[in-house]
Amino acid sequence: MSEGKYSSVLVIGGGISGITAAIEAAEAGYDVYLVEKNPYLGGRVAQLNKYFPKNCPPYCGLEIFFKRIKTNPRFNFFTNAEIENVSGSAGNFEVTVRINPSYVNNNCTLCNKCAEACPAERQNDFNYGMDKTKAIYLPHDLAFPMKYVIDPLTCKKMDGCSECVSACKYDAIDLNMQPETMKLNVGSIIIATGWKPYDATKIDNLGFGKYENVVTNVMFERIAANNGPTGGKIVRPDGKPVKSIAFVQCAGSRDENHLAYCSAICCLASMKQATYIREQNPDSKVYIFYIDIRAPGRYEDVYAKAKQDENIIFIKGKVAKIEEDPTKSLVVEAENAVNGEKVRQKVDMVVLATGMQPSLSEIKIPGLDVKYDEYGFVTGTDGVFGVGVASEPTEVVGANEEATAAALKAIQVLRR
Amino acid sequence: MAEEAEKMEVKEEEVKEEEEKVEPKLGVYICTGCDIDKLDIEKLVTVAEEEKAPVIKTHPALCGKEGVELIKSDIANEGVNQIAIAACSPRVKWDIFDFGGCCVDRINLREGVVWTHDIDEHTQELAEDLLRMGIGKVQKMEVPVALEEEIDKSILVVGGGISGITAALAVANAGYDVNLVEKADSLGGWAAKFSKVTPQSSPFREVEDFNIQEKIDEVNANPRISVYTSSKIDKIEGQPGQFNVSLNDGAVEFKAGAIVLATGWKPYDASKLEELGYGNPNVITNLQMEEVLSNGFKADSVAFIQCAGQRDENHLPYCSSICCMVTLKQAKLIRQQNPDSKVYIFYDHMRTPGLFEEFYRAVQDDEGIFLTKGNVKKVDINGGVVLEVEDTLLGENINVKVDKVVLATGMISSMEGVPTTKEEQAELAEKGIEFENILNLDYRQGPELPLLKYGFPDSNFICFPYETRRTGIYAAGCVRQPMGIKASMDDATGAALKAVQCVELISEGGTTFPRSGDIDFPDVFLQRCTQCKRCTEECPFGAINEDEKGTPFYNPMRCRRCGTCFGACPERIVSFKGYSVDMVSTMLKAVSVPGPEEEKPRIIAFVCENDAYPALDMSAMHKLKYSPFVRIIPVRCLGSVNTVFIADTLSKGIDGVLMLGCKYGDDYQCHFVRGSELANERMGKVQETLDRLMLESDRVQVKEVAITEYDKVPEIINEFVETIKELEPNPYKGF
Amino acid sequence: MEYVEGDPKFVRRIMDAGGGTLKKCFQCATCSVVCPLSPDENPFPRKEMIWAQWGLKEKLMADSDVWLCHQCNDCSSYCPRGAKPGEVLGALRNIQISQYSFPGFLAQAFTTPRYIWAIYALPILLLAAYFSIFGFHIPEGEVHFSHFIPHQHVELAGMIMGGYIGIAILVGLYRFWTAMGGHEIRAKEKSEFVDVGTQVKGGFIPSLIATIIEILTHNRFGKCGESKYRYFAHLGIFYGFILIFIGTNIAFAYLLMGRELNLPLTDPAKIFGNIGFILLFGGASWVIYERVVKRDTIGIGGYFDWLFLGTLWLVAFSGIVLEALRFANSIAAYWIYLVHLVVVFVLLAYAPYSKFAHLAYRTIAMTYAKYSGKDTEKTQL
Repeated sequence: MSEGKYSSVLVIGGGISGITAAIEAAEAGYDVYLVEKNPYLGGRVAQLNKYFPKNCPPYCGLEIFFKRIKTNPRFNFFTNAEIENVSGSAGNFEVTVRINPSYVNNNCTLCNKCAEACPAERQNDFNYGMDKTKAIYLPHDLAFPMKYVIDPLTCKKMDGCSECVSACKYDAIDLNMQPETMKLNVGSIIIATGWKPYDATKIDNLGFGKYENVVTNVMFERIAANNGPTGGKIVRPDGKPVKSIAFVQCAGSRDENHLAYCSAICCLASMKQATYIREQNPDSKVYIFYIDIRAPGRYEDVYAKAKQDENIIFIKGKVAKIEEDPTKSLVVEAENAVNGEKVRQKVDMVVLATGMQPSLSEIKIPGLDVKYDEYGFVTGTDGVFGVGVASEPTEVVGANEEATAAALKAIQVLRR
Repeated sequence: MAEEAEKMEVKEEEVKEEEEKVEPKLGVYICTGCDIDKLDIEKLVTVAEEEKAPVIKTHPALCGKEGVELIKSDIANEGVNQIAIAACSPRVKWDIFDFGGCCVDRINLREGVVWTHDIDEHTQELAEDLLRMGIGKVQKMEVPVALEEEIDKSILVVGGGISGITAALAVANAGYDVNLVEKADSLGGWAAKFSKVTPQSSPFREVEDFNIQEKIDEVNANPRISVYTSSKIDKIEGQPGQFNVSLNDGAVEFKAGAIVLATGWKPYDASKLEELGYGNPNVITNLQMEEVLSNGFKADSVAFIQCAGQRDENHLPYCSSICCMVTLKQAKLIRQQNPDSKVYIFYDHMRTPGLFEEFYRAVQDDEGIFLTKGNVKKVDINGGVVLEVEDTLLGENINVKVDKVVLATGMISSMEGVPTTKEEQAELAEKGIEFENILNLDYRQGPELPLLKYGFPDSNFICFPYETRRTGIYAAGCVRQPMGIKASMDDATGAALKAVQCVELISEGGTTFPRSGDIDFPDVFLQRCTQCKRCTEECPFGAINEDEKGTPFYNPMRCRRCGTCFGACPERIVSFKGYSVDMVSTMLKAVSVPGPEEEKPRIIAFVCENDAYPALDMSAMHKLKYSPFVRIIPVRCLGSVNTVFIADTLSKGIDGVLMLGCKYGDDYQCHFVRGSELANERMGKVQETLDRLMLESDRVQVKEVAITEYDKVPEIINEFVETIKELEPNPYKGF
Repeated sequence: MEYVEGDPKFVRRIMDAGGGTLKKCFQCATCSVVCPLSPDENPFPRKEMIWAQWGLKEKLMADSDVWLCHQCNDCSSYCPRGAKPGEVLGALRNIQISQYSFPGFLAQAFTTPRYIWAIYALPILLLAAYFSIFGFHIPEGEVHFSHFIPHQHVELAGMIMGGYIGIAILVGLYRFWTAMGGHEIRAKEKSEFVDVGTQVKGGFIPSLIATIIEILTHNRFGKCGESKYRYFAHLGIFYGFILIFIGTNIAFAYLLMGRELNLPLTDPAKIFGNIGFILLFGGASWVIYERVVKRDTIGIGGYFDWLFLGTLWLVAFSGIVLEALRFANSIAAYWIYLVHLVVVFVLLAYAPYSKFAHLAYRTIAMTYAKYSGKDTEKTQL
C-alpha cells in the first residue's frame, strides 16, 4: 500500500495522543511502532476520574482503543520502553529502542500472590504518591497490557529477596530479565510524550507541600476516582470530610515566575471537579478564584451549568495567599477585582489548578534533531511531528484531532 | 436496487457453499489454573461430553506455552476448527488465544465465575451453564468472508475554504484523488477576505500575513485534485467506496469513496443586536471590520464589545472561541494604521488559551489599547457612540464615547437551518420557508449529516472527535465547531486521514470505528421481511434505505456492525456470522432451568461488551461478589438485543432478563449512538409481551452502567436478583 | 454625562517615570493580596495598575494609597506578568510630587536627566557669587572651615533655605490634601468611623500623631516580605539623617554660645554626627546595592529616584571624607567642603520638588488614610 523506502511510522509516547496517532495510521494501512516508557498504555488520561464536558470516564475510550489495537496486525507496541537513539532524516530514520525489563513475563495471570508475598513498598505514582503499592504491582485496573510489573528501584532482589518468585505458580517472574535493544527503520516520527504536572512546591505562596490539605488538580482527580486512594470518597488528606473547597486557578500558570503560558484545560477541569464534590455532598460550597474563565466554543455549556449552581461561587481575583488555621483548614485570600474588596475565605480544602509542563522541557530524546519553543513544546521538523501536549497545551478533543492529522502527515512523508 | 439485493444473496449462497466443504470440529479446552480448579472439573468435562464434543482437554495453565501448543497441535492434527476455551475473560490473553481461520469462543470461568462467587452448588451450575452456552455459541459461529467489491478510493471534499483546501491537499499528498466542490465562483472562503490573521505558529506574538492564494495555486496545480467552483451537489447516492455524486443538475458526475464536509460558517445575524446599537453605521461587526481594515481604516477611537450576541441565552448560547484573538489582532492593526488612535476592549473573560496567551501579552504592551472586564449595559448615539459599562475593574461604572464600535459577533455552522431529515424538509416546505441542502444524500434517514448540538454536525465523543453518524462522511472545520484558521487546518488534515482510512478499511471488506476492520456484514433474509421499517428507522448510521413499498435495502459499506437492525427486527431476519439468531437461541436453550420447587432462579443478563462487561471484569479483579443465578451473554451493543429473545427466554422459564449497557441521554456514551436508549424504549413494547404471558414487568430491566462503576455493578445485579426472588418463580418453568 | 477616556500620553509619562512595565498587568490582583500593607477595602496596587493602564490622571493624582506603599516589592516579585507594580507605584509617587509641588514649573526640572546640569549649576553659581562678594582664599595651617567660609554665613543660608522649602512644601501639601478630598472628609461626622485596627477615631491631629508613631517605628517596613532589607536600610537612612540633624543642631547651639567649631570626635555633636553617618551611609549603600542587583525582578527605579538617592549618598560620603581630611589637616578638605556644600544644597533646597518630598507627602497621605477610614483591616465573615 505504501511506496516509500521505509513503510512505517514511529510514535514516541503511548498516552491518548500517541495511541490515537498510531491506531489511526495503522487502520489507514501503515505499520506503526509505538514506544511507551510506562509499563502500560494510556498515559495521564488513565489517571483521570472523568473528562469534561460530558463527565464520562476515560476508561471507556481507552477500552475501545485497546480493542482496536487488539484486532490490528499493523499496530506494534512496546511498553517499559525508551528511545536510546535516533539518527537519519525524513523518510529514513534509524531508531534504537531499549525495552527495560519488567521482570514479569506473559505467564502472569493477575492472581496477586506475588504482591501479597512482596516485602517492599513503593509510592504509587498512579495516585500521585498518595498511597503505596508493593514493589511488584499491577499499574491500574485497566492496565494494558494486563500484567504485573516490578519497580526496580524499590525491589529488594539485590538483597537476595525472591519472595514473589516463590509465590508465583505460573513461572511468570524472571528476576534476571535483561534489557533488550532493538533497531527500527521508520519513515516518520510522531512525538507524543505528553506532560507532567507542574511542581507545585515551587509556588511558595500557595502552601503546597507545607499545608496538608492543599492538593493539586491531578491529585484531586485521584481522590474522586473510585479506584483511587480513598475509594472515591472525597475527604481531605488529613482524613476529615470536605464541606467547602476553594479552587485556585492559574496556580503557577500564566506566570512568568513559573509557566508563562496558559494550560488551556484547568478552568474546565476545575468546573468539572466542582461537580464531583457538589454531587457527593449537596450541601458543599465551592469557590472558584480565577483571572479569566476559559471555556471556549461549546465548552461554554460547562461554565453556564456551573453558574446555575448557587453553591458554586466564582470570584475574579487570583488567590495569592493561603494560611492554615489550627484545625488544618485553610484561609485563602484574594481581591475581588470587580468590587474591590478583599476576600478571606475559610475552606476545608484547597485545590491548586496547576498547569501542564511538557515532558520534553527537561529531558530530550537522544539523537533526535527537532525544534522546540522556549517552553519545551515541540515545533517539529521535516518528518517529525509533535502531537498532544508535547506540542501545545490542549484538551483531549484537540489532542486527538491533532494526532489524527499528524498520522496523515506522517503517512505523507512515507509516500514521498 | 432490487437487482443489487439479489446479487448480494447470490454471492452469499456461493460463499456458504464454500464453507460447507470444511467439516466443523469442536475442541473444548478447560483451564484449571487461576482457581478455576476449585470447581468440579470432572463434572464440567461431563457436560462437554454430553454436548458431544469430540475433543475435550484440561490443562493447569492453558495460556502458557504448553497449553497453547496443545490447542495448536489439535488444530493441525485433529482438524479442530471450533475452539471453546473455558478459562479467563476474553479481554485478557487475547493475543495468546489467537488462532487464525478458526472460530474461537472464550468462556469466562475466571472473572465470571470463580473470582466473583463463593464456590458452592450454584456456582458449579453457573459454570456448567456457561460451558454449555459457550459450546453452543462456538458451534453456531461462522468464519466471516469479506465482501469483494469495486471500491473507488477518491475523496469528495465539499467546501473550498481553508478547511476544504487543506483537506484536499492533505488527501492528494497522501496519494489519493480528490474532487473539490465549492458553491462560490472562487476558492478561499472567509480566510481569503482577511488581510492579516492571528498568530499561527510559535512564538505566537505577531499578527501574520496569510497567503491563501499560494494554497489555492497549489490546489489548482495538483494533478490529483479536480476543482468544481460555482457548483452544488444535487445528489449523492450509494455508500462509502461507491458514492455516486452528481453536481449542477447532472452536468457533472463522478464517484467517491469518502466525503469530507467542510462548508464552514456564516456570521450571526447582527440585526438582532439592536440593543448594542447595531443598525447605526458606526456600529459594525468584527467581520465588517475585517473588510474595513483591508481598505485602510481611519478612526480616532474604537471600542470592541466582546461576546456580542454570544454566551447569551437570547442569542447564541456558546462561545465562538476565536473572537478574543481576532479582536486583539484588529486592535493591533487599528493602532498600526492610526498611531494616535485609542482602542477600548470590553470583555467578560479574555479567552486566549494555551500558547495564544503570548499574543495577549504582546498586544497588551500597546499603550493605546485600553482593556477592562465589563458589561456593556447600553449603547447610545450622542455625537459619537456612547457606551455605558458596568462591573468594570476600574472601581466604578463608566461611560465611554467613541467614533466606532465593533461587535465581536459569533459563528454559526453553515448547517444551521439546513433540514437534515425528510420530515424537516417537508415542514419547511409547508411553511413556505426556503432552504437549501448541501450533501443531498440519498439516504432514507435524511439528506445530511445529523446534527449534535446548536446546529453543529459534530462528534459526541471526546476520545473520537471524528466519529460520525454517517460512515465515510466526515466533518471538518467551522461547520462542526467554531474555530480559528490554525485549528481548522489541523482539523481538516485529521478529517482527510479519516476519509482515506475509511476507503482503505472498506476496500478490505471491513468497517470503520469502533469495530474497525470487522468484515462480518449483516446477512438479511429479505423473503420474510414484513416491511415494518423498524430497521430502516432505527439504524443509527442510516445504512438501510427503503423502496416505495418499504422493503429495506442494506448498504453493507455504510454498516458499522452494531446489530441494531438485528435487535429491531420482529421477524429476526438479520444475522451476522459471528452473532446470529440461531446462536442466541442456542445459548438460551443451553441454560438449565430447574423446576420451581428447587428455588434456584435463573436470570439472563445481556451485557454490553464496551462498558458493562469491562466493569464486571474489574469487579472480579477487586474480588467483589454477585449472585450466581445470573448467566451473562456479552453483546456488541444493547441495541442488538432483540425483544423476541426476551419473550423466548421468559417462555422457557427463565425468571428474569437484565440488560446492562451504557449511559444514554444528551451525554450518551454508546458508540453506536442509541443502543441502550433503544433497549430502554423497546422495554416499553415488551410490556405487551409480558402481559400476554401474564408475567410481571419487573422481570425485565435495563440498567445504565459506566465502565468505572465496578463497585456498583455487583450491587445492580444483586438488587435485580432480590427483586426476582420476591416474585413467584416463573410459571413457565418445566413446560 | 461624564466620559472616561484613555490617555496614552499620561500612560507614557508614567512609563517614563519608572513604571515602564505597567502595560503587562492583566488584573489578577495577586499584588493586592501579597502586599502586606494593603487594606481590605479597595486595596492597592491592582486598581492603580489599571488606572495607570488607562492613563486616568485625575484618579491617580488624588490617590493616597500610593503612599501607603512602602516599596516592599512583594508585589513585583510575585507578579505573574512582570508588571512590577512596586515600580509603577514608585513612579506615581514621583509624578504626584511633581504635580503638587510649588511652583509647578520648577518641578519639571527633576523629572528628566536633561536638567541635571542646571540642578547642580545653581548651588555652584551661588557659591561663585558668594566668593566674588566675600573673596576666595584657601587658609593655611590647621584646617578650620570657619576660616574658609564663616559658619554664621552657612547657618544663615540654611535658615533662608529652610524658610523657603517650608513654605513650598506646605503649599504642595495643601494642594495634595485638597486633591485627595481632605476637605470633604473633614465635613463628615467623625463618629462615622469605627475604631478597627489602625484606624483612629477622632480628628486630624490624632491621625497625624498615629502616623508619626508609625513612621518612627517603621512598623510598615517591618511587614515587608520580599524587600525586608528595607526595614533596616531605611531605618538607617532615616535615623542616620535625624542623628546628623541633631548633631548639626548641637553645633548650631555651640555657635550661638560663641564656641569654635573645630570639634573633636568625642564631642556629642560629633558622636551624633558620626553614628548618624554610619547609619545613613550604610543604609543608602545597601539600598543602592539591592536595587542594582534585583533590577530584573523588582526594578531599579528611575531618574527621579536616583537623583535623590545618589545625592543623599554623596552627602554622606562627602561628609565623612570631609571629616577625615580635616583630621588629616589636608587642604583638600576645603575643596571637599565646597563639594559637600553643593550636594547638601541639592539635597535640601530642592526637597519640595525631588523625591525627598516623600517625607512630607507620605506623612500626609498616611494621615489622610487614617482620617478617612481607608486604612482598615477587615476580618472575613
